[in-house]
Amino acid sequence: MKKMLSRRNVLRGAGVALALPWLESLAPRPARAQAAAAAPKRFVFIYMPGGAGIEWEDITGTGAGANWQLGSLHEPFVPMKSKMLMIRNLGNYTWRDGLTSINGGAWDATQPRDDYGTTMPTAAYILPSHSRQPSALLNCIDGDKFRQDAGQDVTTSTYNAETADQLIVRSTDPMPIPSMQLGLIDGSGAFDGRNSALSQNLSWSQAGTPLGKDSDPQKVFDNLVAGGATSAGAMSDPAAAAAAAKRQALNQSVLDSLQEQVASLQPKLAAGDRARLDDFLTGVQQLETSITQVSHPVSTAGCTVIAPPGSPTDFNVKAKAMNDLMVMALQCDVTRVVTYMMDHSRSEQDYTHVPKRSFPPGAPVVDVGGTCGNYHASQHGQPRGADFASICNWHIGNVADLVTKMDAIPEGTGTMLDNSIVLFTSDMHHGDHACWDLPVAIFGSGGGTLRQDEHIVLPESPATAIQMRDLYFTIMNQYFGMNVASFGVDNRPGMPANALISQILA
Amino acid sequence: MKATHNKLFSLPVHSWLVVGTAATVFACSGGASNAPSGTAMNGTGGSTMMGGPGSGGSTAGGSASMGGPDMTAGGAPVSMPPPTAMGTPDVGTVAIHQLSNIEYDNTIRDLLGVTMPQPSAGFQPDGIALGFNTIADAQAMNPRSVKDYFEAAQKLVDSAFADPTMLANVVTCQSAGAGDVTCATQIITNFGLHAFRRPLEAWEITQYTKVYSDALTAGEDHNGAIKHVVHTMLSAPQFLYRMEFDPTPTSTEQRPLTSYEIASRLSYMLWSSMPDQSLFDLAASGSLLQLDTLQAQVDRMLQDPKSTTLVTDFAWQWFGALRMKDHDVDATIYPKWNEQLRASMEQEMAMYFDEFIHGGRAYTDILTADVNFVDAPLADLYGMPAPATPGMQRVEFTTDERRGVLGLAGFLTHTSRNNRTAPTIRGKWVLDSLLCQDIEPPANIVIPPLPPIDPTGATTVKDALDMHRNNAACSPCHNLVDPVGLGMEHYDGIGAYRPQYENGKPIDTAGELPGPVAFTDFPDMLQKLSETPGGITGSAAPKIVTCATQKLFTYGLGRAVGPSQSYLDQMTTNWFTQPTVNLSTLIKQLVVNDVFRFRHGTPDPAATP
Repeated sequence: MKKMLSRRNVLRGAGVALALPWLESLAPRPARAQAAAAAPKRFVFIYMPGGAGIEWEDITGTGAGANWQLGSLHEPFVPMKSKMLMIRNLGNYTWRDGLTSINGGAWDATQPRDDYGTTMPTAAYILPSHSRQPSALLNCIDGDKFRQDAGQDVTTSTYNAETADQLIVRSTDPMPIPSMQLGLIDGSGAFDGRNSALSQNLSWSQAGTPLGKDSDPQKVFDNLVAGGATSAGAMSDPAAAAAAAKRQALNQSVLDSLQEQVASLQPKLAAGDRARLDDFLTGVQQLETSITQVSHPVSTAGCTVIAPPGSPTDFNVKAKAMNDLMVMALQCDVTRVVTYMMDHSRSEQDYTHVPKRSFPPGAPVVDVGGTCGNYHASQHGQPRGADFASICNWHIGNVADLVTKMDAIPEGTGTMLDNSIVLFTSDMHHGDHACWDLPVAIFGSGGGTLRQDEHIVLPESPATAIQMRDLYFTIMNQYFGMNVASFGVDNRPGMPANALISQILA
Repeated sequence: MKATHNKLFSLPVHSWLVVGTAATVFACSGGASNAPSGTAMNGTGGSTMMGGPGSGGSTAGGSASMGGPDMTAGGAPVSMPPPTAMGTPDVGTVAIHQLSNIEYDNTIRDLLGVTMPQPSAGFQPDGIALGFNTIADAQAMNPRSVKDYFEAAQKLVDSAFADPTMLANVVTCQSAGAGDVTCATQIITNFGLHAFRRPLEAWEITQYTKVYSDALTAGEDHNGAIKHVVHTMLSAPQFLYRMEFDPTPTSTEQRPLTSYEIASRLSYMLWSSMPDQSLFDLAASGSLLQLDTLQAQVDRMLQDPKSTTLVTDFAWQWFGALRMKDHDVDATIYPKWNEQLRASMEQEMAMYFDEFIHGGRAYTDILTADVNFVDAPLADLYGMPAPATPGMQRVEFTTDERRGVLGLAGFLTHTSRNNRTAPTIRGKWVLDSLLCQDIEPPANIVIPPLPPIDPTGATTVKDALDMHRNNAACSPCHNLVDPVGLGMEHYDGIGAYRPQYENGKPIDTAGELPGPVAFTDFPDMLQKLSETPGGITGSAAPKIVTCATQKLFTYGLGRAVGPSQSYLDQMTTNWFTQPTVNLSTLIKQLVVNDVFRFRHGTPDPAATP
C-alpha cells in the first residue's frame, strides 16, 4: 500500500528532519504526578481587534508599584493593577523573509509618526494586513511565506503554522476539553485577497488547520457540561445511566465506522484531499475521547456550574456570559487553555452598544454622548478618535471583568488568577497596521513566574527590540516547563535567537 | 410570475457571509490591466457550441462536435483530450468539496424532508475566498465541525424518525426476523444513493450493514437500527463532501466526469442542493452525459423554485448583498430609514437579479436596465408614485435618475457608512463586482487617518477623499477607486437622489475609469463601464461579460480559473455570440464546456527526503 503523505506527516517528518524554524524541539511531557499538588497551569489568550487606542500609551512612569500609573483608557484595570504587568515595545515583526530594509530605511532606524504622535521603526508598518497579522499573532511566522513554501494557494488556503496555545496543549496533560476557542463579536469585512479564516481565527492545530471558535454562550455551556463539568455532589440516576451507556455504544459504533470509512476512502484521493480527511479523522478521534469521558464527569470541589446562559444578542450581556463560562471551565478544570477572540480583525461591526467617551491624558474619562459606529471606519479615524478608543475601552472592560472574577476564586494560598497567565493583546499597535509595540497586558503571575504590578518598557530600537515570539518562549519554558529551543521567526538580519525576557520574570 | 417573488425571496441568509474579494487582483501602482491572457485555443480545447441555447431543448449533442472529446450519438465520450502538458488547455482539478452551510441545509431538506429551520445554525462559518463560499480549497475541517455535524445528524434523525411520514420515506421495508439483513441492505442501498449522491460501492454496503448490526446488538429494533445507519451516513465524509474520485488520483490525465458527478455539479450550482430524482434517473441511464440532455436539464432546473439560490446564494455573494442584512443606518440622518425599507431594498435587489436569471434579460443591460421593483416606502424614497397595490411592483420609469444595478437603493446603501456615502467602498464594489478588478490593500505605506466628516457640515466626502488622492502613497488606489464612487454621489447614504450635497455644495460626478477612460457624469460612467473591453482576442465581449463568466465559473466550479483560462475565454466568446446574452444561456454554455465535464487528478508533492 502506498504510503500516505498527509499534511500531518509532512509536519512531523519535517519537524525531525528539517528543524522547522518556528519549533525546533519539544521536551518530554512534564511528569504530572510530581506536580499533582501544584495548582493547574492555565493559559488564557484574549484578542482585541485592530490595535489599541493611542491612549494606551498614556501610562505614566515605569517600574513597580507606585512608580507607574494607568491612563484613563485603562480605567477598568485600575482595581486589578496589583496583579498586572504592562509591557511596551513588544512587536510581532515576522513577515518577509530575508528582508534587510524597508522603503530604504535601515532596521535600526525609527521615525516619528506625525499622524499618531509616536515614534516607530521605519519598517514597522509595511504590508501587514487584517489576514496576516492575526494569523501570525500566536505562531510568529510569516504566513504568506509559510503557505507558499507548503505549495498552498495563498488566495484560498486556510493553512497556517501551529499556534502557541496548541503547542502548550500538546505538551501538557490531556484534558476533557483540550482547549477552548471562543468568540464574542463576529464582525465580518473584506478579506484582503486571502481566506476569511485568517482574520477570524486565533488557534491553528498541529496539522495547520484553523480550529474555529464558538460565539454562542449556550453552545459553550453545553460543551462544558458534556465535557464533564459537574457540580460536586450531583446525584446519578440509574435509568439515565443505562440510557447513556446505550447511547455511548451507538456513538462508538458511528465513530468506529467513520474511521474505517476514512481509511477506505484515503487511497482513492490525492494528497490535498487525504489531508482534509486527516483533519476529519482528527475530529472523529477527539469526539471519541470526549464521548468516552462523559461517563467520568469532572467533579472538583470548587466546580460551580452556572445557570444556562442562553444565546443573548446584547453584546454586553454576552460578554459577561463568556467570562462566566471561562471561569466555570477553568474552575471545573475541564480545560486549561483558552483563546478568546473578541472580534474579527477586519470587522465591519457597528459598536452601537458602546457609549462614546474620550480619554484625556492624566484626566478622568469624559462621556461624550452618543454611541460608537462602524469598527473599521473608527480604526482609520482620528488618532484620538472617540469611537476607536471607546471600543478599545469596552474590550478592556471585558478583560477586567474576567480577571476580577478569576481573582475572586481562592486557590491554594492565593487565587485562581494568581496561578494562571491571562495574556491580553492585539495584532496591531494602533489602528495603523503597525506590528510594533503591540498593546500587551498580562494578568496573574503564573504561580509566581512573572512579576506583578509593573510597567516594563523594553528596548525601543528595532535592532535590539524584543518580539512576541520571546514572550511565548518565556511563558512556554518558564511557566509550562516545555523546554522549547526556538519558537517563531525573526526576519531581522541574522535571525536573532529566542531569549527569555528576563525583565518580566519574578 | 412576479407575484411569486415575495414568497420566493424570503432571503433566509446566514449571518456569516459578507462580500468577499474577486479572483483577479492587480497592483494599483501600475494601473495594470487584468485582461485575460487571450491564450489561443488549440484544437482540442475549443468547443464550438452548436445550436442556440435560446432554442429550448438544445440541438447540440448528438453528432455535434463539441471540441475536446468527440461525442457519440449515445453521448459517451470516445476519446479523451490529450494529457495535460505545459501550455496546453487544462480543464483543471478541484478538491473534495465540503458542503457550505447553505448547501448542507438545502441538502438535508431535500434528503430527509426535514422542515427544521437552518439545521446548520451554530456551525462554523464557511471559508470565503475569491469572493465565494463554494471554493473547495478554502474550507477547513476541524474537530469543532466534526462534532457539529455529528450532533446535528443526531438531532435530524431524532426529528425525522419521530415523524411517521418521514419515517415511512426512509424505512421502506421491514426485516423478516432476527438476522435477516435483506431489507436493511435494500434501505442502505437506496438511501445511500441519495445521501452520497451516487451508488454505494460494495465495501460501503458491507460497512453500513455492520453499522446496522451494531445497533441491533446495542438493543435497537429495526427502525432504531436504520436510524443509526442514517445518523452514520449523515456524519460521513461521503455525505459532507462532494467527492469526485479519479481512477488514478495522482494522474493529470483528463477524464470525463461520471454522470453522477455531473448531476451533483449541476444541482449544487443551480440549486445549492443535491440532485433530485430526475437527475438521479438521468445519471443512472447515462443520458446526462449527452450535451442536449444537459442543456435541457438546465432549462428544467431553472423552472424549479429551488433555483432561487442563484439569486440568494450566487448573485448575493457576487454583488455583496449579504452585507445589507447587518448594515447599520443612522436614522437621525436618514429619517426614511427603517426595517421595512431595508426589507424592500433586499427584495428589489433580488428581483432585479432575477430579471437577468429567470427573466431572460440580456446581462449586457445590467448597468442600464430601466427597471425597478418598488413598494410604497421604496417608491417614496425614489420619488416615484406609490404603486396601486401592496407589495413589490415592477415599474419602468425612463425619465428618472435611476438606471441599472448601480441605481438600486440596496447597493447604494450597503456600500455607504451609516451616516454618509463612502465613494471608496462604492468604487471598489463596482470594480470588483462588474469588472472583476479587486484592489489589494495598501502596501508599504503609512495609512493617514481621515479627518472627521460631518455630513451636515462644510466638508464634503469628496473634500475629505482629496486628502487620500493628493497623497502620493494613497493615490494609486484611491485614484482608481474614488472617481467611480464619486460618480455615484448623487445618491445619498440610503440611495435617495440628491441634486446637490446637503450643505448646498454642488456634486461633480465627472471622473475617469481605469484605463484611463474619462466620463462626464453618472449616465456616461454607466455607458463607459459597459463598454470596457474584455480583452479576449477575436471577441467583442466587453469586460462586464468576461467578468460575469469568471464569477459563474468561480462559484459554480468552486475553484479559481487557474490553468483553465482558455476554456473560460471560449465560454465567454460562445456566450457573447448567442442570440440572447442572459445568465441562463451562460449557464448552458458552462455545462457543456469541457471544463464542467472533465477533470484530472493531482500529483503528490515530491516526497520529503
